[in-house]
Amino acid sequence: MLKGDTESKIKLLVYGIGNASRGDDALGPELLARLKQHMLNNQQDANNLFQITLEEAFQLQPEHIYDFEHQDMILFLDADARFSEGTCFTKISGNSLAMKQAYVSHALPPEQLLAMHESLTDEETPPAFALSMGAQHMELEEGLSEQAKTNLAEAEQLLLTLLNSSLDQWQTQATI
Amino acid sequence: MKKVVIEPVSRVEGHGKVTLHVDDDGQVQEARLHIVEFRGFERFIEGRPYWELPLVVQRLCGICPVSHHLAAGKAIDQIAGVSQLSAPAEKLRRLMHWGQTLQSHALHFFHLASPDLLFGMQSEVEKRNVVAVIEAYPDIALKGVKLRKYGQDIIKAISGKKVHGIAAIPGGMNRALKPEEIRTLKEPLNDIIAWSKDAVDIARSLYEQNQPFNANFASLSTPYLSLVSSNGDWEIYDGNMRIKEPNGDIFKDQYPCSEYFNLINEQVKNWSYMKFPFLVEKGTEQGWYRVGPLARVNNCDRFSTPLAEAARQQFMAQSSYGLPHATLAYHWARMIEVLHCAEAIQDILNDNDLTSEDLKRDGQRQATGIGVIEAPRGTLFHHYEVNEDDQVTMANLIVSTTSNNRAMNESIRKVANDHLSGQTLTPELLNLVEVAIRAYDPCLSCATHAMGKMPLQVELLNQQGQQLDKITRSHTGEIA
Repeated sequence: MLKGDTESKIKLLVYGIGNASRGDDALGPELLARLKQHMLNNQQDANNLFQITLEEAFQLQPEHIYDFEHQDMILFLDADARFSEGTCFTKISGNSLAMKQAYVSHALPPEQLLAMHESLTDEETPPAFALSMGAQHMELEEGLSEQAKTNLAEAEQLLLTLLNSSLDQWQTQATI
Repeated sequence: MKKVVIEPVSRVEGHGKVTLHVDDDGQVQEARLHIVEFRGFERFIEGRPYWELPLVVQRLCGICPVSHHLAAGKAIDQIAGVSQLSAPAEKLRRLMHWGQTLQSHALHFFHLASPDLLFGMQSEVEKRNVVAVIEAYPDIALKGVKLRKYGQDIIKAISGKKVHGIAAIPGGMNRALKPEEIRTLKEPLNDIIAWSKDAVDIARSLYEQNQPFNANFASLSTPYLSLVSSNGDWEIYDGNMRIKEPNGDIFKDQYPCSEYFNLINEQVKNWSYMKFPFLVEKGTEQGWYRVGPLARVNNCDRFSTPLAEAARQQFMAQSSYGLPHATLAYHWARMIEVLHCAEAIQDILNDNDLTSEDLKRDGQRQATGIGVIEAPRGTLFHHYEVNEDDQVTMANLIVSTTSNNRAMNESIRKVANDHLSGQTLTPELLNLVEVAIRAYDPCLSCATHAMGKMPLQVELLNQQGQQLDKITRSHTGEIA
C-alpha cells in the first residue's frame, strides 16, 4: 500500500486486479505498478487533487469491502476479455442486479463488491469507476500480448489525465 | 448412447462443461466434467531456480495461493537439505495454513454454498445467490465476510502482504511476528470462535433438516485419502498419508509422502485436460478416491481441540455403519475444520515461539523435493527435481481438484440418473448438477478472474454422440 502525502485531498483507492503470470490478466497490476512509479517519480507536483492508496489483488473478495473505509472514491484497474482493443472507462455502482448476476465464481466483480458494501456496512459507499483494458490471452504464461501493451499505454495516458481532473470531469469522461 | 451437456457450472471457480452420455433406456452411463484450465502448471515451473518456487507458485491459483506457497516451501526445504524446521518456523507455517483454511472455507460456505442450503435446492433460481442471503440473513452473511477477513489478516501478518507475500524460504521462514501483531490478531478471537461454532451449527442443522435427501444426494461410497499426524490426529500441514476403505477399514496408514508416486498414478483421458488419479494397488476403475474436508474428518482419529472434536463425534454419529459418505456432508465437515482452525489459532497465538528469530535451518543440497500438504480442497502434491544449476528440471503437481476429478463425475452421474426426466435438460437439473459439483469446492480456473471468463454448460448426448439437448448459464446468470 502506498499513500499520497496530505490529508486534505480527495482520498482515492486504486485497485489493480489480476494475476501477473496469466498473460493479459496482468494488465491491472501492471498499470498499478506504473502508477506507483509515477507517484514515486513525481512526489512534488503529482496528485494535486488526490491522496492515493494503491492496492493489488488477484481477485476481488468479500473482505475487500473493508478497504473502502475512509475513502472518497474508488478506481478499479482491470483486464476485460469482452473486448480486445482499447480501454473502457465507466462509472460503476453496486446494485442488486449486479449482485444477482455475479455469482459464478469465488471472485467478485467490482459491482458486486460495491453492492455488498452497501448492504453489509453502515457507511456510504464511495463513488466508483472502472478503467478496463482489452485482453485476449490469459493462459498461464508471462508477458502481455502486443495488443495488450498498446491498451496499457492508452490506459496509462487516460489514468494520468484523470488524476489531474476533478470528480465532475471523471463523471463526464465515464460511460455508464 | 445419448449425451447431455450442461454448461457452464456457476458458483464453481472457472468455467466448465458437463456432458451426460445416456443409453437407449435413458440411463446416464457416463458424466464428464470438462475443465479447460488445468494445463501448463509444470511448464510454468520448469526451468526456474528452485528458490523462486514458493513465490511463483502462488500465481497458480487466486483462491489458494498460500497452499501452493507452503507445499512448494516444504519441497524446497528438502532440496535445501533441511528435514526438520526450527519450532518457530514450523509454528508460523501452521498458523498461516490455519488462516488460509479458515478464510477459504468461510468464503465457500457463506458466499457460494449457503444459498442452496439456506433456501433449498428447489427454491426459485433467483433466490439462490448471495444477494438473497444478504437480504434474508444479513447476520450470517456478515459473519462469513468477517471470518474470511480474519484469515486474510493472519496471512498478511505473516507474509507481509495480501498477495505475493514472502513467508516460506528454503529451510524456514522469512520473518517472525511482532508482539503488537499478535495482540491485534488476538483481539477478535472470541468472536471468531463463536462465529465458527455457529457455522458448524448452521451446517449441521441444514443438513439434518432434510437428512434423507441430503444423505442420498450425489452420495458416493468411496475410499478417502488425507494426511494424518503420527498419532492419527487431523493434520493439514505435515504428517503421512492415510487411506480408509468405504467401510472405515484402514487401507494404508502412515504412508510416507515421499513415496506418493508408488501409491498414486494418474490416468489420462482424451476428453479432459485434467488427469484422473487412482490408487495403484486398486487400479483405474476401483482405485479412485476422495480428498478434502470429508476425507480428512472421516480419516482422522480425533481433532486436537475440544470444540472441533465434539463436533467431529457428532458428525461421525450420523453413520451407524462405515463412514458418512454424503457429498453434501462436505459442507458440514468443512465448517468443523473452520472451528478447529479458529481454536488452533487461539492456542498458538499464546506461544512465544511466534516472535522468535530462530527461523532458518541449513543442510546439504539435494536434487529432489516433495512437499505434500492438505489444501482446503484436499491433498496437494508438489514434486520437483533440480539440476546442479539450481534449475527445476521436473515438476509434478497433483492438485486437490484433480484428485476429486472422478468423484465429481460420478456425483454428477448419480444426480443426473436420479433427476433427469426424459431427454430434456431443465434449469432445475442444471442447478442440481452445480450443487453436486460445488460440494467439492473445486477450483477450476486457478487464477484468471477477468470479466467474461466465467460461464458453464450441460449437454445431453446419445450413444452416437448426437446432441439431444443443451443448457447454458452465462457468466451473468442467464439460462439459455
